[in-house]
Amino acid sequence: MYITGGNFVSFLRNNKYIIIFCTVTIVILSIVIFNSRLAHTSKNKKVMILYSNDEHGSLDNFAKIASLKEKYENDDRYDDVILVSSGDAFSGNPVVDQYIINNKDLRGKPIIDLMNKAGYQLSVLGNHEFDYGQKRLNENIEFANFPLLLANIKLDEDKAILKQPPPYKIIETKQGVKLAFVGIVQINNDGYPSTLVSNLEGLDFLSPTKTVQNYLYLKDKNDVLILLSHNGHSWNLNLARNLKNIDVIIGGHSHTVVQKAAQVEDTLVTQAGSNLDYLGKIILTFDRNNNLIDSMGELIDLDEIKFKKDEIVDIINSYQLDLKDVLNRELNHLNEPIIGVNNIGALMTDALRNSLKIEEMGYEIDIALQNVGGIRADKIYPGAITVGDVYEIEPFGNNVIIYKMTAKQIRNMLAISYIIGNSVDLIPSGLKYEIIVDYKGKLKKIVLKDLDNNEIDNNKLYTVVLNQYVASSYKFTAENEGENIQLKVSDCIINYLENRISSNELKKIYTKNDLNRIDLKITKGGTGQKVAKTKVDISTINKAHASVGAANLMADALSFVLDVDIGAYPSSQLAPNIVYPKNSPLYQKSLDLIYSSFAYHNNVTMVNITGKNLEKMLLKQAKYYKEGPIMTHLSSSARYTVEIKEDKIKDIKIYLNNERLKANQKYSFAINSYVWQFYAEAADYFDITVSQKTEKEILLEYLKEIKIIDSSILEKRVEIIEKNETK
Amino acid sequence: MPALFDKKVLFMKAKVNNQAIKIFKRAQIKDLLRRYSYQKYKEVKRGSAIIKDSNNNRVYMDGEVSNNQRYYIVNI
Repeated sequence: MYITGGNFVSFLRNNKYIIIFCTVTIVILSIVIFNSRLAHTSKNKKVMILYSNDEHGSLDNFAKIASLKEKYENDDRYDDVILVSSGDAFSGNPVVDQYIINNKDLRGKPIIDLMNKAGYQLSVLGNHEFDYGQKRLNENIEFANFPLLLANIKLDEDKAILKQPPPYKIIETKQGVKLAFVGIVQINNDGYPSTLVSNLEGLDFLSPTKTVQNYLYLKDKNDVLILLSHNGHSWNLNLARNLKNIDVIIGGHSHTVVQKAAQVEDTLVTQAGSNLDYLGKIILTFDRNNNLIDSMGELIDLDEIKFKKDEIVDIINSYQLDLKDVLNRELNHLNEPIIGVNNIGALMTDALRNSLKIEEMGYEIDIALQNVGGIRADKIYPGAITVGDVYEIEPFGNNVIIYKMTAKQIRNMLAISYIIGNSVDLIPSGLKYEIIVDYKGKLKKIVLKDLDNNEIDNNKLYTVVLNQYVASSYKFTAENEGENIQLKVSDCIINYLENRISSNELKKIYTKNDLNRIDLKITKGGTGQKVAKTKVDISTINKAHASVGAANLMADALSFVLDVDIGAYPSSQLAPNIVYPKNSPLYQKSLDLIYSSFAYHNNVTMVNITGKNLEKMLLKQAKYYKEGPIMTHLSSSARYTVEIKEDKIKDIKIYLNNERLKANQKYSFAINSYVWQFYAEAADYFDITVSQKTEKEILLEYLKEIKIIDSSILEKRVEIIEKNETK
Repeated sequence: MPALFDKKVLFMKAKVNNQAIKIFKRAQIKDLLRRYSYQKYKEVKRGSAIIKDSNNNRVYMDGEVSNNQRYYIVNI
C-alpha cells in the first residue's frame, strides 16, 4: 500500500500521538547514544589505576603484577597506567621482617625492591610501615623509587628520626589528566596507628578526617582527587558519605575483598583484600576537557594470572634463597639441647617477661603465660640457636597482649585451662604453681607461688602478658580487656636470645632436666570403680635418668598381656614429675595423669627383632632424643646398661633373664605405635603386627590381673656406666 | 606513650552473627572469631566458611577489627 499526499495528511492526523511518541523516543535514544559514544570516542581518555594493599611481605605475585602493568601499558586504549599501594607492605614474612644480612639491618628491603621493579609509582605509609622503627623506615623510603605519602602526620623535629613524608602527589598522565593522590593512615582512639608505640617517638598523628578535609582543595586544582587511605573499608565508606569532592578511595587495613568498587555518592570506594591475592583495577574515563565522566573498579584474582615477568621471578627467587641465610642468623649458642615443652615454654615466657621492647613502653611485666599447644617444637638442638629455631617454636606470628589481673583471676584462668584440657597447660614465668587434684585428676585447688616458693600476694594487681591466641581463645576475666602492643612473641624471643641472655645462662636455666614451674600434686579423693591399688609410689620423676616405676609398670603390662619377651615404654611419653602416692586406689582416669600418651589412644606395635638390632634401636633413640641416657624402659625380666664416655652415650647392652641378648637371635618386642616409627628407622625387624587394644586397655587388663601394684616396679632396670678417661 | 590501661582506650566492640563481642583493641578478625566461637574459627580456618562484613564483602582473618563493625560467618 502507498500513502498518497492526502492520505499522508490524514495519516498524520489520525496517528499524531504515535508519531509524537516515536519522535520523542528517537530524540532520547539519539541523546543517549551520542553521549555514550562521546564517552568512548578517541577524544576521551581512560586512565587505569592498578592497586594493591596490605601486601604484608608477600613476594610471589609481584612478577604477575609487573606483567599485568606492562600489558595494560601496551594497550593503547589507556592514556596511562598507574600502579599504587594503599599501605602495609611490611610484616608477615620472615624473609622481609628478619632481613638482616651480614649483620646489616635491611628489614623491609625485599618488598620495596620488588615494588620498585614492578613499577609502583606511589604508596601510603600504613601502620605496619613503622614496625621496624623510624631509622629503618627512612632507609626504606630512600630505597623506594616511588614516594610514600602520609598527610596525617606531624613531626617534632627534635625527637623524630623520620623525615617528613610528602602528604600528596600529583601525577599528570601523558594526555594531561591531573590526578591528585593524598595518603592517610588509620589511628586508634589512643592517637596512634596500630604499631609498636615505642617506634613513634616524636610523631604526632592527626585526625584522618580533618586531614582529608584540609586537602580537598586539591580537587579544584586537579582533575580528580584520589585518597590512598590505610583505613578500614567501613571507615572509608563513611568518609565518602560525609565528604564531597573525593573521586576515589583506595583502602587498606581491614583486608576487605571489594570485588566491585562501591559507588558512594560521587566516590568510588574499594580495597583489594591482602597478601596480594588480588590486584585492583580502576578505570577512570575523562572527556576532552578532563572532566571525569565514568569510573569503575574491580579486582583481578592473581591466582588466575599465569604470565609473570621473568626478570622479577628471578629476583623473587633470589630473595627466597636469602631466606636460608635469614633463618640461619645465629642468636645464641647451646652446648646441650633444650628438651621438652616445659623448658622451651619457660624460655618463651621468660623472653616475654624480660622483653626490652615491652620495658621501653613503660610496662613492668610480673607474669607471662604460654600455652603448651602454642609451642611447636619439643627440642632445641645443641649448636647455634637461630632465627629459624624461633620461627619453628612460634610460627604463628602471635602478638603480645598485656593484662592487669588479680591473683584470683590468674588462679581461675589456670584452673579453667586445666579443666578444659584435662592437663597442665599454661607455662609461667615470674610464678610457679601447684595444681592439686584427686586420684581421678579432678581439680581441687591451685596454689600460686612466687619464685622463692612463697604464696603470692592476693591483694596485688599483676601485669600479665599473654600471647594473642591465649588472649582471644581462653576463658578468663581480667581487670581490663587487654592491650595489643603490636609486638610479636617471636620478636621478643629473638631479642631475648640475642641481647638479653648469655650462652652460659641459657644452658644453666633451660637445659636442666628438672626445670619445672608447675607441680601436679595428687591427693586423696575420687569415687567410682577402682582398677587396682598401689602399695608404692608410681613416679615419673627423673624419667630419662633413672628407672621409674610408672614406665616399668607399663612395660610389664605389655610383656604380660601381649606375651612378648620384652615390653617397652618410652620416657618421652610419660607425664613429667608425677608421683601417684602409695597406698592409694587407682581409677581409670588416674592413669591419664601418669601417661601422657593415653590422650592419643595409641596402639602397640609388636615385632620380632635380633638382639643386635634391638640394642641398636635403643642406642639410636637415646642418642637422638638426648633428654637423658634412658629413653626406653623395659619389662621386668629385661635389664640394660648405658655406657657413657665424656658425656656421650656410647653403647647399650641389653640382658634378658640376666643373659646378654644374642646378636642374631630373634626376640619379640612391643612398644607404643607412635614412637615405633622413630625406633624403626634405626634397624631391621621382622613380623610386624599392631595390637587391637590401646595401650591404656592393655594396662587396664594387666591391672585387673595383678590387682595390686607392688615394689617390683621400683626395680632398677637400667644401669648407667660412666667411662671417663682418667690420667 | 599511651597511658597504661587508660580507661578510654580499653577495648573494641564488634558483632559477629549479631552477637556483641568485646575484645582488646587492635584485635584481628581471628581474635574476634575465637572469642565468638572457637568452632566457627576452626571452620573459617579450614575454609568451610568465610567472614563477610555488613556490606557483604569478604574480610580476611588477619585484617584488623573495625570498631562497631558487624561481621557474619557464611558457610561455603
